[in-house]
Amino acid sequence: MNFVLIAIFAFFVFGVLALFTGNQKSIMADLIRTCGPIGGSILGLIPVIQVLAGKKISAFIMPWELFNGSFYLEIDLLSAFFLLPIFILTILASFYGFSYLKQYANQRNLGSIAFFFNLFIMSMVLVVCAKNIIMFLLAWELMALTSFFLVMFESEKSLTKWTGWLYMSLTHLGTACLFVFFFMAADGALSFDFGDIAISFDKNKTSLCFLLALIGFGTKAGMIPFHIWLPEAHPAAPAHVSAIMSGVMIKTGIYGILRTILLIGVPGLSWGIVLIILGALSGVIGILFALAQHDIKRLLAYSSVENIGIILLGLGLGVVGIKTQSPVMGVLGLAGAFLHILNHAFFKGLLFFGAGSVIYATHTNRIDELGGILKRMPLTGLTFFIGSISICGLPPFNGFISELFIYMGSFKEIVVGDFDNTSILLPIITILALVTIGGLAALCFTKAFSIIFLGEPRYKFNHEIKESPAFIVYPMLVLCAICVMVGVFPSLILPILEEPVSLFFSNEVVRSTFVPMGEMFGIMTYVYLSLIGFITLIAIVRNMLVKRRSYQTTVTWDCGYIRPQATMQYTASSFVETLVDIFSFILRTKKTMDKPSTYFPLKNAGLNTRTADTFAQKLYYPVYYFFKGHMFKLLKIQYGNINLYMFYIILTLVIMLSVNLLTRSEL
Amino acid sequence: MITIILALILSPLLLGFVNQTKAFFAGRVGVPFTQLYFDLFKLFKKDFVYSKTTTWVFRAGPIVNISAALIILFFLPLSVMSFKGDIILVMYLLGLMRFFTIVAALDTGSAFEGMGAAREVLYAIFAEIVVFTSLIALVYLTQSLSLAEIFGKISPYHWTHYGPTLGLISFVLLVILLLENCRIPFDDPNTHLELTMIHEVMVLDHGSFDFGLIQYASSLKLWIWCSMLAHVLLPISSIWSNVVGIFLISILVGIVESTMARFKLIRIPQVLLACFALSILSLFLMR
Repeated sequence: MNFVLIAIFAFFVFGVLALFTGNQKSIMADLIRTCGPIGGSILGLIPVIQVLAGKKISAFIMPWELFNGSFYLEIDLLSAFFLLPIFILTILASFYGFSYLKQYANQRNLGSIAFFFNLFIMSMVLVVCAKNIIMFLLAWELMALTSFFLVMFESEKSLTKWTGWLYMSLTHLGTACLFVFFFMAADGALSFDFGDIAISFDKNKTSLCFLLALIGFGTKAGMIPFHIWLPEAHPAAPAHVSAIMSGVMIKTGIYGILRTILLIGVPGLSWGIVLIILGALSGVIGILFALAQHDIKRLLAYSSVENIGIILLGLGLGVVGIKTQSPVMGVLGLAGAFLHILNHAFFKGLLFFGAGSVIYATHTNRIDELGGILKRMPLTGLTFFIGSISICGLPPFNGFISELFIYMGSFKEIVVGDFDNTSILLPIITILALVTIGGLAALCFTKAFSIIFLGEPRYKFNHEIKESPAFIVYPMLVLCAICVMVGVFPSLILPILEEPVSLFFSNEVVRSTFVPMGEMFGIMTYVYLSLIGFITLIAIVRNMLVKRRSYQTTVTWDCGYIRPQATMQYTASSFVETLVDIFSFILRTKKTMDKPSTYFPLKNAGLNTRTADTFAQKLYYPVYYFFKGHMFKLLKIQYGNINLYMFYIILTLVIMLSVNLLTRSEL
Repeated sequence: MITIILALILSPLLLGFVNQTKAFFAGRVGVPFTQLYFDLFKLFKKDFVYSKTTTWVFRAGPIVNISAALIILFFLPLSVMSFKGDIILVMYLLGLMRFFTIVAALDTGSAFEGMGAAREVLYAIFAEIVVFTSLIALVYLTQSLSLAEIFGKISPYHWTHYGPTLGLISFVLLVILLLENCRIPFDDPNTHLELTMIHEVMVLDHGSFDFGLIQYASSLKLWIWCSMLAHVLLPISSIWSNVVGIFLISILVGIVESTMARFKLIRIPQVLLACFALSILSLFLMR
């Protein structure tokens, strides 16, 4: 525990120190800005690994009246599991940010960015370690505020202001639900410490409490239909912050849901069904919106909604498994959800880093302006490629393993299941949702990778495009290596999953379910190695042939054009056009077309597609404008006259006093 | 082991059977059964020409394709390997093959190949849903999770008790077979117009050794799908009956190709959704 306390302290101290460095360009200033998160995270990893290895670490408890309980920090298994990606990604993001932010050195105050970044990391650590309601909510609020300031990075843009506003208001809508949830749950408890609440929780309130928690935490997680802040906020922040927000911050929402289950007990079967349905919806709709986007970071942000959907599917299977006494499905579903939390942190971190690297080199985030940069940025391209395969859940990389867990959970349930029982529908829905998500993800990420990195450049930049500096590339290589390792040697990851899943199922059940999975992963490693072996072998044969024979290069054949143009290529819009048309009832993509006029068109013709968030347009904005319109009526009582306000205060006091007196007299 | 060797040797012959059937219906003599062997031999001897636009992704495509196809052969019924859950691995390896074909096609920066890639990946979305729905039914019927058992364990007993389900599934799998292997009515490998192609247009720029690998990989893929379907239709667990079944199915493919016209591209998602409905129906019929 001491190490984590030191880490939290380091984040804070170096954050405040960084504030004083301002825009200085000395090495000292750079060091102060970056070494806090790196050093703190490395220290913090020590207890995390100890806990995951099965060691118990004593909590840090300090009775404190303010918290109606105590200042209570503890790393239990669940906290440790979520701290793992937080710390790993923070280390890499700090290196990355050090190099990435250099381009803004003359325009922005790097010191304040470092300050908010430090505090942001600190707040996430506090969120997952806090074991007291007030502490938790304070940390939750701090996390929202610090990330808000990071989102407002380019605050002079009007779009960013709107984004910040949207993020702020939605986060607080979620937090409001959490306030109600926590104080309802704490009703009748000895103190606000989690331990006391769990003991005295009234089981009759489970459903209502879980609903509130689901909305509150789901908003943070980006669950549909509470996701609309996510595709706005993530692209606005600098790349390394987007990576952290998408990779780990939204996972604190999942942490919240899991913590709620531990706190108030497993909710009823119907909530498992709700989780599966929400997961399927988030997954499919998230990826549908992702593939219609033209901005790399928006695309990645929507894909985070999809991945949260996959995690929710796993969680849902877990809850259903507990409630219907089918532990195998539950264990595998939950294990899949846990692993996907890790995996998504890694590959989404990798992809956001890659997107940042592309933006760093080209200064554009529009997919349609890019093309052919694999030759100029080979390492960014390679890592983005592997990240893309991972996120599509294709073997032999890590995304496949977590989806495999969920598939296996569902299929094993179908094997033992009974088709006369309607509960068989749940694994079927899960499988079909996963397959649909997988297929759509393949479309989305072949588009993202190919249009950005392959083909010919679609736009002529005035500057030379070259590979990003080492500190940007190395973190991507590290994440890429993790994706490959977890994918090819999945047996290594099993022990890390065993303990967290055991929080929800008995040890024996978990172990007996994991043994066949371990055997399966062992065989899969051999299969992958032979796949890689075949690939190498054939590649060697090919290279020998290439050496022996003549080898020419020419233009792309393209059915006989002598001079193919870059504009002839497929674009991001045309690649997904048919699908976008099929799903137009939900995507509502707007097309604006400049048709070529006359026989010899002088003006360039063009087609523009734009996909705004349907939920925002149809659900949130009407409500918002309704309230905005009617709020003007409030002007009548809010006149800006101080005397009037004084009168309100006195009136309120009088009412409160009289109510108090009346209720007393009744006693 | 013998299944793998048979697949490696005989798979190019399948296309010969398809083409001969088509020639029979058209009243032509047709190309020899062994045409693909000659083609492969010739391709492997040729020199290399690459587009300046392409990168390592373009060169990796065919290699990954053939390697993944070889791996899948291990998992076929009566082959060497099998473990619980390998069915998901195999289906996702097919996905990996597709992923690499698509990115390799887009690597050329060609409009036509982009078109083909966009179609391939779109139809694959629907096809995968249909395949997994039928797999759910088969997993339940055979109570197993490995590809070898799911298809290998189907017996006459299943046909007598769950006939309607298996009938629907066979039909749906045949449709997917035609789609996945780019046959009429979904795709016409012989069309002379690139605008109407799906798979063939994606490999326009590949040549020589690479194209040989692609041709061989697609013949293996055809073998794999035929083998799976043959196990459902001819529920006898023997290698030779399976091989006979595979060739019978290739003749069936030839008949379908001869008697049907290609669907409009816009209709294909609708056909696949209809197949999805049928496979869902097959689940209900199992009760």
